[in-house]
Amino acid sequence: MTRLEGSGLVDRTRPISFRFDGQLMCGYVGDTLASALLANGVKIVGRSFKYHRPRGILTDGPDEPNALVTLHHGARAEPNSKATIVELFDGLEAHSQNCWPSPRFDLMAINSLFSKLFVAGFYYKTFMWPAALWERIYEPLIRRAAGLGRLSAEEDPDTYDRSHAFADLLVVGAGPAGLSAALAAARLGKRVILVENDHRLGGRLLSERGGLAGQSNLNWVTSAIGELASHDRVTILTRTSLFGAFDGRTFAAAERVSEHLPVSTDGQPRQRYWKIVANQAIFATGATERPIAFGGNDRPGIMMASAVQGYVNRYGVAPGRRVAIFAVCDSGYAVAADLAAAGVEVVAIIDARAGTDQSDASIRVIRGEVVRTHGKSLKSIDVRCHDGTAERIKVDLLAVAGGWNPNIGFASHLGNRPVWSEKLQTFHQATPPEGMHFVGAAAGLRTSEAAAASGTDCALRLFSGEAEVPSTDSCSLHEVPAAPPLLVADTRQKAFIDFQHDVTVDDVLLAEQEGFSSVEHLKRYTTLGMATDQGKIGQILGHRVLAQRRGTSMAAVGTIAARPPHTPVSIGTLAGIHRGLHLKPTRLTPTHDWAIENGASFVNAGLWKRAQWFTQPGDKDWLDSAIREAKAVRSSVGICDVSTLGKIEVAGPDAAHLLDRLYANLMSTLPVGKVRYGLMLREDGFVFDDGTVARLAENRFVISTTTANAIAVMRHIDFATQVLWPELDVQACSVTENWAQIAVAGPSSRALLQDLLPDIDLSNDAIPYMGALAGRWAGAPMRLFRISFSGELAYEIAVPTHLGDALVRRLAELGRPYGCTAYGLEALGILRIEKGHAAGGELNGQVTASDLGLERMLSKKKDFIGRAMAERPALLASDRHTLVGLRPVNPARQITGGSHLLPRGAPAFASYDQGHITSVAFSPVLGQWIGLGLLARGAEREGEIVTAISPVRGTSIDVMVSSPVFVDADGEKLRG
Amino acid sequence: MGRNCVDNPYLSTFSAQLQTLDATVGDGVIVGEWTMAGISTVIATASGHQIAKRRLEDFADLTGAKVLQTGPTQWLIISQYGREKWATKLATAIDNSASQFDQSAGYGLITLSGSNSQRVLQKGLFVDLEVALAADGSSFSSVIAHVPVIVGRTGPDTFIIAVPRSYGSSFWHWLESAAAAESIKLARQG
Repeated sequence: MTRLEGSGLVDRTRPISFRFDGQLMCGYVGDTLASALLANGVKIVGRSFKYHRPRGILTDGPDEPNALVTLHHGARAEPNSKATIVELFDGLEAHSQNCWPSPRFDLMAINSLFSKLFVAGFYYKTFMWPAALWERIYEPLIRRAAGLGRLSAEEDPDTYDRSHAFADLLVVGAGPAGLSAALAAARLGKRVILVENDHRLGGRLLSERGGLAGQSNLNWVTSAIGELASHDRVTILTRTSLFGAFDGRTFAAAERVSEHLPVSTDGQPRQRYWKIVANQAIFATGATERPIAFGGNDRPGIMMASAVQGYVNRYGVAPGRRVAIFAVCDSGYAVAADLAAAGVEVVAIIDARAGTDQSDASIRVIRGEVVRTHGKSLKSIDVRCHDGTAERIKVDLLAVAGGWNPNIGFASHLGNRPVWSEKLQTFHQATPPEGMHFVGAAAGLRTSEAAAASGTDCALRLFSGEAEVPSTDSCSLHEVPAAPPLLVADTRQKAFIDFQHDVTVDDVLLAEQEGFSSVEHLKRYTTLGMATDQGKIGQILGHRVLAQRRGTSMAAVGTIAARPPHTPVSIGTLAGIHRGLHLKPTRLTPTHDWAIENGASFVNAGLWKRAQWFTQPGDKDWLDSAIREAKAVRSSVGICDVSTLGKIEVAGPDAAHLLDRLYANLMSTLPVGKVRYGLMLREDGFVFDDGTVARLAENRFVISTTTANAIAVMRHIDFATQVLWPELDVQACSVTENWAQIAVAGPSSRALLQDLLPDIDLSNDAIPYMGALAGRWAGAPMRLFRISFSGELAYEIAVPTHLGDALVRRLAELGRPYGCTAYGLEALGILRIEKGHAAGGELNGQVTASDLGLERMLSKKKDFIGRAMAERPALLASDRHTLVGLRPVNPARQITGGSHLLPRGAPAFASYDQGHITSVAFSPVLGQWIGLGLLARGAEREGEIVTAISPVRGTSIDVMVSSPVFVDADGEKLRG
Repeated sequence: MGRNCVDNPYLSTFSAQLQTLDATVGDGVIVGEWTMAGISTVIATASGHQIAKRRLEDFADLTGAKVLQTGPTQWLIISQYGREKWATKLATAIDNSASQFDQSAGYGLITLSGSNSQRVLQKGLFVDLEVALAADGSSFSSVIAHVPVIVGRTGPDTFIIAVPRSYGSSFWHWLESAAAAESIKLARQG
């Protein structure tokens, strides 16, 4: 155990147990998995991605590249969890990754022997030839090797939540700067949201000794939290990671709601996705300490100095017993002092800078550089002193203080490129996007006092105008000279700059040598800055290598633009409740329950669930059901829910004028109580949609649309009335939801409806084909339209939606003596194909009215949308593909939709393609498969035999071209 | 059937779901449904916007109907006690300043009340309720979990949400999930 006595913020009265790689260990409430592992003496936590080198814990925060573990097991297994931010709880179970059988002894470490091969661009250079192996060998091989950790293949048992929040001010980060900013805004009565990734507020104040505003750090934090809690317009979100900044001052964050609990209570979700809109956003996101590139700098036992400080001061853990500090800035000295105060032996500070000592005499300072390290986990370091001497020092911990990178990536989410500051020796945001402000260490400030002041000033400037926020370069508190990223030359050991992807200094040099000399190319070629840490630790070090190699400045080299997500986000968090059956909203028809009771199978039609067929005893399969249903319609009567068709009411003195302009055919001449088939064109002259128009009154119509275009047609009408012709006095409203509509089709349909509506005359004279009437049923309004999609005597009856279920049950009951049969979409398809009615397969956005044989519907007496463009030469060409009927020459053969139509005997080349089959069905009337298709000059080719070829199914069938109307060509049945 | 032809059936969209809730009241959200409501969409003519708006306000004062503005010249009118006579009165009130479209069976009208109602509702809406529904009677159109909704405030902690009837089950799934995620109990209005 390396737990320090009496220090740290963990709760020593609440011990908890957990397992790492099956081994039982102990920690305390307040520990992270990383601090508990260190307290239990675990130094090697996993293996590196490429070389399988042993790796320990590098940081104490969310940018950890090494200590990635898999939490839990089975369906809840969560790979790539950063041990440095995983809160310890009783029973936690964690496993190391990328090693077998254990992190200490990993057989895959053999990769290290071939490290000379695994250089930058290894894949691109190796898996080139022969091409025949690309798909069968190389891709499976690369896919197997790719990725960190393994996902569970089981369904995620957790739930995920989503929330929206709005604020005057969003503060990101709850260190001294963030807390100060939130306090200042809260005191002005502003609506504030404070987001903190940690479970505890305070930021670096929790990890550093010292004080702020005359109080100890901890007391200051406690006081700030207490005051914030007293403001009812302040929302504090801990365990919440902001991961994206977007347009419209919108931000995305993921809250870990129950991940820190052994078992979530009260159905709590695992995570919550927050979408936040804030007028202003202050980023007190701190800075990430950067490593130094020296030989063997990835060895377990080498840790960022700030992390060492955090483990000692916050968690009461000594990550080592004999420590050296390798520093290029003064923060290393503070760490040394903290270690010494905690009773840990600090053997030396190796300061790479030239100058005078910063330490008290009790700690030895060596002016020089660490050039090599030794041991599976760190045993000793080789130091090259500036005076030319060399020294090997035995240590078990090396704390590296390589300078600071402000966390400014969120500005790049909105397109801002960071710029290099010579004064800060790092990239910063000189001109952040509007509404976005960086304070504290994120603005390059180094002390808690400066950070707190910058947070306060920024909030006051934004909301009261009482203060000016100091800019990064003018801040008087920023007087400590900064050091550039340090690369140690001539180390003879691998010097890593990206620990997660095993990218070394040599890899960057090789990439530059091979022409990948821009930072963006370097990233793709070497994978520098990819994976879960996205280069926050080592990327700038890599750019320093590039700058040195190119002999140019950091400003000239630049850095990459960060993109969302800032930190990894579970797909489940983004999906929320929208998964499985709830992936999209579901729309249920008014007769849905009745359909279930009657054996319906459903198909998705947009968001709607529509009955596809109704399985009855004796049906062998779906086709059997569909044929039975279609036969019933042809011989007796069938009922089908058609409520999903769009229904739009158009009212006003100019309603008829509007419809004349929307439809290709004339509608203003339609008498009240009549229905007319209508065809709408798009502005470009192609067919948009079809349906019926019923005139309910002189100035009121109801039009029907296809299910697929219900919303599109409504939008089209809104555009026409609001933009094209606002002068028309006409109003249109979708009433699709208000009416349940049931098709009643077949020779017995009139008799059935007459039983339903005994007080209404349904004779042919009273309501002829294409007639409409209004009445009442069950005390509610009812509309009856005599229209037919099947070609039979047929009606559609509409009642208010809540009565749809009652209506269909009543129809089924009354229809029993007639053999009334429920029919679904498959039977509907059979009936309409037999009748040659165009539907989705034919109305594909590329057909004209003439292609469908509907050219006579294009009125010459009026103007309408699409008229001019419909007369383009290409749309009138004689070789256009037009609607035809198709049936196999051999009646026993089945044709398939999508088959290409080629001249008989022509080779199966695309150059011979003359069209395709749009819809197919087995026709009970004809006793064979039939189809509709679009065929070049189809109208002239009735009787010709062509070949239907389906490369997908491997079929080639001769089919005869015919009229698309297979039954009742004269329409006698529907007029009967 | 003339320009302002309206009919008023009575309906319930959420009765099955509401029956699954206890009638207890605590810190939870109380869920109710206006099952007898008459609902109409009213769209003003090009020149009748101001007249229609004034007439609708007068009509609401007179009858207690709720007027939810859903667009620059469009409103959803809700009468908690829907009757055809009410609809005829509305037609008379707006006269030729607007067209009226019956939607009585097209929407389920769900009400949320209680101190946590705004909290739950805000979870689903990407609209700042503190601003958009600052006053009683304010309203807007939006989406919740991809379900189109019209939302209005009817009291300090009381909201009415018009949900297209076919989307009822999906909306309810969101409501249950959102409340459960916050450990907030849904209770049936007694």
